[in-house]
Amino acid sequence: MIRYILNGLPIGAIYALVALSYSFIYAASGVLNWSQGDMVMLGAYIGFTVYQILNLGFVPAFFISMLAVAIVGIGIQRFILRPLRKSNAPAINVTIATLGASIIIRNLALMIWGPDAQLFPFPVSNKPISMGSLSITPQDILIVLIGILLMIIFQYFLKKSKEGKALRAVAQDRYAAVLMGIDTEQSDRSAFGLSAAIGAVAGILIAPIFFVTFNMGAGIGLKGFVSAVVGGLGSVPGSIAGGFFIGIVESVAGGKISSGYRDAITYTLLILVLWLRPTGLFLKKRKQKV
Amino acid sequence: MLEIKGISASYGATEVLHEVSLKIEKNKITTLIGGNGAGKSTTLNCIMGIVKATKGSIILDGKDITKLRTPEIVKLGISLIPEGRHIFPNMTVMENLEMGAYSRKDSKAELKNDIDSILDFFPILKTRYKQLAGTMSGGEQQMLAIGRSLMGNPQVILMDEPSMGLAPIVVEEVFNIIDKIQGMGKTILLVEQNATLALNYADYGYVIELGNIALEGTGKELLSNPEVEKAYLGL
Repeated sequence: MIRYILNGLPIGAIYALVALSYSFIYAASGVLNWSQGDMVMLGAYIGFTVYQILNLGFVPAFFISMLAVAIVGIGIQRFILRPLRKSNAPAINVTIATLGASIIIRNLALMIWGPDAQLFPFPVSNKPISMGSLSITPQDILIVLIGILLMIIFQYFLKKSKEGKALRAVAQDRYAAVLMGIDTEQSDRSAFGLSAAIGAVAGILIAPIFFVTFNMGAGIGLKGFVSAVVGGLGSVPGSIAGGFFIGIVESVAGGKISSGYRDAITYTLLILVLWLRPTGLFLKKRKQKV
Repeated sequence: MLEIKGISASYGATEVLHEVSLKIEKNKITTLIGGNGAGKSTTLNCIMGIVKATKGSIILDGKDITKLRTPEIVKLGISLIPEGRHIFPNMTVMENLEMGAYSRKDSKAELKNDIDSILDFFPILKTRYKQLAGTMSGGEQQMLAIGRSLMGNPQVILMDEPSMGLAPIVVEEVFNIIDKIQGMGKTILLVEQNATLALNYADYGYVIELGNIALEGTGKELLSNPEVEKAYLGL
């Protein structure tokens, strides 16, 4: 059992990042952004290009990928969200427009990188280290560490920095935030840019586990979204917990039952949560945002 | 100080303010009274640039601010304490006060200093500065909303229904505070449904009906005006 829980941590950390990116953008801008999964795909491809093709090194791959994908996220805010907001479009229109953006991005990726799956290994060993009956690879340890480090930095930014606090204020009461002199145009931009950058890191982290393909965003995006809903959509800590929870459940279900049932179990869990506890498993009664 | 010259405003195709004019004198309490849906809150949101005026102009110290965006208006020193308080529920009292100073460029030490003096001014907030604002009572939240506004160091404070939903004894406390804030040299535009109370504290008052200014005068004049008595004082 402990073995499966341990094995679920790396994918759990990745789900947690994607869930966090959905929740944060939803809380801070009110938009359910369906192109979030494609930010993960772009992050993986750009990281792959910088590291494997341009040979610029592993650490630069992270930063260049985060920056490039953040620009794409800000572009979505600028060219999709902003015009729709100006014309007072209902939220559902904005959500559908992000779905459109997702299809465009996916097909652009197909044009740039082609239909073949790419392999993106990490510069650390993939050989398991054994501790008694348990074993874990250095690569998995690195994935979990980077994921957790990013979550800690992000929480610190939200709690301590002036801009982070402003984003929390917008998430809690957009009208009051405007009255404080917070520019909501700017906070939307930050929400889209930061969420995209977090997605990009998830993309690089998932790359050595799965192949990098132009349509990988659909699967990981949906799993991240399910994690966010299970943990509490709109809550950053809830979504992180949700991501680890789904990752571990999948690993345990795959090991103890059958890996063929893994997705079925995940989505059954989603339906149960929506039915019995729609605010998410990890939220207290009072709805807590960001 | 703040002059509103013939502003009109619409929600969609419906015009809700019809060439409303108000003069808000420096260091005075001016009140705008009227029934539900008369256009009181819309007037305040127009001043803040949240609702755009379709006609007329808003002048602050000789400067036309009608077309400015809200963040710029806040920087110029106008602050709105909204109806229903709108404190940030999942932030501490301290963080709420910090948000009030968002548009200021002053040093951390200066802001810390101001937070301390706000906490001295509102002893109830001092004992709870680490508490989440959403867990406080309505009266405490109203004090916090006022304190948060003061943190922005505004010259003009617009207050929308500060007495709403509060127990009579708390309402009295809130109005005493409004009085003290005037004493600090602030200019106040007070919107209230509780007309008697507002007129008792106000230097000058306007009565708004269906988006038009129907009457104006000093607080005393309006209190003794038979029309006002009949319509708003509930006698």
